[in-house]
Amino acid sequence: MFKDLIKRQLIEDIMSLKFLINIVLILTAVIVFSLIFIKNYHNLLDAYSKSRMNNEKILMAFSKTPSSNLEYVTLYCLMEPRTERLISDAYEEKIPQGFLLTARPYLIQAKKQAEEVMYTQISKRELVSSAFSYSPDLTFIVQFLLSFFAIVLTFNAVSAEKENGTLRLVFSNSFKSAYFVLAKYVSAFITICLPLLLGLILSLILLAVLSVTPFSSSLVLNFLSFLIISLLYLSIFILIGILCSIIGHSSKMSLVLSLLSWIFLVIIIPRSSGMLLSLKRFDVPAEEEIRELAFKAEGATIARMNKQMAENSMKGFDEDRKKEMKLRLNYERNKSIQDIYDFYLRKKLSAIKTIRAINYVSPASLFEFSASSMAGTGLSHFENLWQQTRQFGNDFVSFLKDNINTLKKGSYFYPDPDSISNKPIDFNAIPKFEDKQLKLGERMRDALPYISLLVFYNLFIFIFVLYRFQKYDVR
Amino acid sequence: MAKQVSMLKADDLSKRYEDGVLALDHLNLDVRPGEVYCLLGANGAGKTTTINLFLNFIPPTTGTCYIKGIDVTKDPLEAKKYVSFVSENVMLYGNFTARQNLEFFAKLGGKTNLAKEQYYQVMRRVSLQEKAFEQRVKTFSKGMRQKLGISIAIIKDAPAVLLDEPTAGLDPKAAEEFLEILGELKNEGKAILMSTHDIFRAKEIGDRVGIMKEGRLVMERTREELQYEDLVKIYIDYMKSEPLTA
Amino acid sequence: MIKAIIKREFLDNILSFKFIACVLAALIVISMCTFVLTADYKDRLKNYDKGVALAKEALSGVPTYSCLTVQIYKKPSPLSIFISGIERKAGSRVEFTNILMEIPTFLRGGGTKNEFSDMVSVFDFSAVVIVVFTLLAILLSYNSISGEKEDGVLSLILSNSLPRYKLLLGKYLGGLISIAVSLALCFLWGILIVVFSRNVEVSSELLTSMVLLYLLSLIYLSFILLLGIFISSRTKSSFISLLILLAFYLIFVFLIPQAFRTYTAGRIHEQTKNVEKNSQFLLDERSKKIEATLRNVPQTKSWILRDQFYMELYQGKANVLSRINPPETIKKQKVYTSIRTGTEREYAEKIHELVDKDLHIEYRIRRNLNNLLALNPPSSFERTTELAADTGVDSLNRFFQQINLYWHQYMRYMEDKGAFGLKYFYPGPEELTPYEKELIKKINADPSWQTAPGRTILYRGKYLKEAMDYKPNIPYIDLNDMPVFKFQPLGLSEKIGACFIHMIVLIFYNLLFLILAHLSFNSYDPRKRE
Repeated sequence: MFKDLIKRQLIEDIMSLKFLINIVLILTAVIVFSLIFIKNYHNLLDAYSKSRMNNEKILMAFSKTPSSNLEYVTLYCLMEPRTERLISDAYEEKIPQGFLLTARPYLIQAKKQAEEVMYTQISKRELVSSAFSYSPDLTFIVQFLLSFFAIVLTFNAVSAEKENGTLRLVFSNSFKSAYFVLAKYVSAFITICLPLLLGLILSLILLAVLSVTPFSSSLVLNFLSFLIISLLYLSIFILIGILCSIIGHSSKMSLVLSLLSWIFLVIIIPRSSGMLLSLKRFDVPAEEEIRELAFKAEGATIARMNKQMAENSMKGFDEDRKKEMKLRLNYERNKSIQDIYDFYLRKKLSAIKTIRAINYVSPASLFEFSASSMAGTGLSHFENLWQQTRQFGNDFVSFLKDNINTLKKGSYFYPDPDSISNKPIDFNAIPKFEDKQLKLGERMRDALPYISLLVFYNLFIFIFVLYRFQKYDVR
Repeated sequence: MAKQVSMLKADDLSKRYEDGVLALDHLNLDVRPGEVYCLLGANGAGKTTTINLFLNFIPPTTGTCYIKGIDVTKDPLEAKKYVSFVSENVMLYGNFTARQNLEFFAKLGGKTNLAKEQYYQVMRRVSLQEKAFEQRVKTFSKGMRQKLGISIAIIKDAPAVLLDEPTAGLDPKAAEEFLEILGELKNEGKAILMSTHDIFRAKEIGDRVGIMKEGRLVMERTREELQYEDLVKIYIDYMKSEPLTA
Repeated sequence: MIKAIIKREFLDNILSFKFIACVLAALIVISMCTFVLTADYKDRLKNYDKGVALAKEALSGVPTYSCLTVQIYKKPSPLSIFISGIERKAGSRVEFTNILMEIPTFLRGGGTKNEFSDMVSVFDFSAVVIVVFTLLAILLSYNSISGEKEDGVLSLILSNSLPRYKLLLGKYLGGLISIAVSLALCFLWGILIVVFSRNVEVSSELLTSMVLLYLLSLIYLSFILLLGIFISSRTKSSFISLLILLAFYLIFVFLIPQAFRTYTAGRIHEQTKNVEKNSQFLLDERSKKIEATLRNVPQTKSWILRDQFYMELYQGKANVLSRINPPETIKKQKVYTSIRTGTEREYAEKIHELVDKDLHIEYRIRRNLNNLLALNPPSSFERTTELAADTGVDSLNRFFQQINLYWHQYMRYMEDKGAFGLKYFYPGPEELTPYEKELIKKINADPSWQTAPGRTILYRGKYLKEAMDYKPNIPYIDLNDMPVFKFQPLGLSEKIGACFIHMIVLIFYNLLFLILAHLSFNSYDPRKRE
């Protein structure tokens, strides 16, 4: 009996015009987006390899005469463009692309683009003003098109049957009322799986055939996890459609309710968080101001250190000790600058994350966040990159300390032309920076809060739907 | 003589809606197997409400409905196994064919594993044209849909049949055919409760006829009694008389 | 009789659930976003006033022309409350200096402070019109013909002696009036919110722009109504016409504009490489040229003293000599200054040429995009909102064009004032006081610096303290006659002119679909399916 309800609904939905329109739309969008992505991706990859080659060139020169070339060591640690960006782009192009690591002074700073050329701000002035900027990725297709389809599928699930009298007829038979609603849900779920699966498989094939990177199992796993999150998300809209169908007294009313809910949840709420950006507590100083603050902090540190050194008279210190004091001074100076940069970077990141928190009400935003966390793109990519850059910096300094340190053993170390030798070293031994993707488990852990909320919303609306349907008048 | 056990029984049934309207006022009714009971009355008299109560679509304010002795509110799922329903002017699933609709409702009614030929047989029995069997229901005329509706009831083969204004809007020939089928069902021993406006047909087919006015069963006559009375006159008299409730 | 139809349509619409729900939704969202954006505008205006005052203050108390920093703030437009454009993101001020010359081409400060801010966006008033009101127009018109057929009412209506076109017109006008009324309500509501928040002046410019916007919105929504009526008159089932219209909504309001925008952004990114490729080269060339020219200046032995106070005050971003300096040093500095400033000016213009090239490419690509998108009515409408509010990229481009002209004007003024000569680095009058002459003579005679090789060195001898302690009252440069920058915003007639082509396109679409609907309805079968 339950199976018959599902089967009938399934046949009706798949044979309908709306399904046809939807399949055509989805597949077209998938093809277009995938092609655009692949074309862009090649360009991005070129730029990225260029920066990596540049890093290698610098390190090569460094390896020949380390001490004299230390001050030319300026490495760009950038976010690697990955094929996962087809799944979820998460505005990766709009955020700072990576970090600049300089050896002397030893500093790590966030950089907006691959190369800091003066005046490049002007060229990048696309400044798209619309409230509807979306990146053309698969997340958009699911978040937008498929959720709309879910609503169109289910908005009159119950009210249409009531209006054409079949509801009465069905309920003159013997089965639990909950099964009716459940059957609607299951058949809508299956109906929506079809374009989703087809679209994902199609884009996977396009990626494999036309792309530069090899087709790996991790890519398939990423698509799979995206599939699961998408289903969680779409299930919510199926339930919302059914709910509106139950609450609305007629098909027309159900339609208006579900369309308005869709607009609020998918368009308005996700696009409103920017309003909070102007609040005082999220205010951060401008780049120049931060620079000034950093130098002021440096000045204060220098003054403090000088005072300390003046108090402990330096007479009677040998050369090595004097060198060590100089290194200590440099270390403290740069640390105070670095602390300021880090502080404000963290503040900016947390401001954005807090602002985005108001979007938790919208399943569309939750879906976006979880997809980007799972794919390891966007903000989570940047944060991971930061951690890796810091780790790389430490590795690099340790390498210098362990291999070309000219100071006495056990003394204080800091990269400086005086503290390292000028003898050539093996280029291959020098640690190189590589942007490694987080393992799937860690990415899942990042996405977990969003996914749990999605699950919670599902359960909550589902229970509410069942409850409301119990009281539903089938006449 | 018909068996004494009622198949459909309304016991002191009352229904007051949330807006205060008293739709049914202490209705007592019983329909035995092999009997056709026609409920007559004006719009709003309570006929449809009675049927809705039997189907547990709404809960009664007081009183009970029994189908085959089962309390409809206490065990609706069990009770619905023994009743089929022919609704007024139902559109059915327009995008499906007649046979597909029939098959679907047959399965809901518990009749799985029927062959296509069996569906065809039932549809033939109700005089539905052969070529319509695999045609989409949205192309059907009203009469064809009603026929399909009763074939749905037939295929469930339940001992009780509820019909809500089944001949409304049908041309005389179609209505006649419809009643023939009802007669066959009655002869098979089914208990049939039918609400209708059609006085003439009610007189023809009904073993008992009840007139409802403002929620009350004001009159009940058997077929024998009606041979000597003019049902039409009785009906109109009752309709014209003073309202029963203030 | 047509009046009866209009009246009925109007009442039917106003009292329907879909209408009330949509208008309510629109009002709620408008309240939220207008409220927040007004507060944001007030904030930006406050910062603007503060900035302008500070900039003015900075013009008094300038000892030499090298210390001069001109800061120009772009005044936030109150229309950005309704159509946020790029004002919130683009930054608020421009500055140029005499010490490191460049013609400004981007705005500092403002929304660009948090580099991650591009991840969040704002839903503003114009977005409400596009998203919610388009939907409302679709909901009001999708069943205008097919719905009545389904209800059986259409045959009833047409059984009267009413020509079909009048019925059509009646339906259209009824829908249009419903939308006009609700749209006016929303506009008024938005304006009221702004009026009732204090400290925001509601100028006639704001009101006339809003009226223009209202009319444009109405023309656009009228098209949606006619589209809906047309589709409704082509289908037998309301549901199918609804599906078609919703598909249109998705595709033409969201998908196509976004696809084009992304594609255009990609192309702009690819093609505007002039600055990226050549600016570093030019900057290097500039440094080399300065170095080379300076090397050719004959070196003589001399000493120099910088004015510690002003050097610290301007954090090294100026060149201020102490009044206590020998004439050779002064002469050398004059030469250095003229070489340096001349070269910087030359290269500022060269770099600006590069920027201009890129801007032209960007402008061309954008113009092509806009022309193509003009064929899509929702995009055409969106473009007109940008133009009518003047808070988008065009406004920014115009601002920088005017800044460029002003910069040249400013440079001419500097030349006339002899800013790149003595007054660039030497505070106060050219005439030395007797005390100053005496001190200079003393230092000249001090042998401590004369042992240095043949070049100018920083004096550190025994008269240093006396020279440092000498703090005369230096008259500041009079900048009262400096030309002041005034940004010319677009006037109403210019805005209308800019929107004109889009208006024509929208009106054309209106007429097209009116005629199509008329033709289609004439052959429409009103019989209800049994």
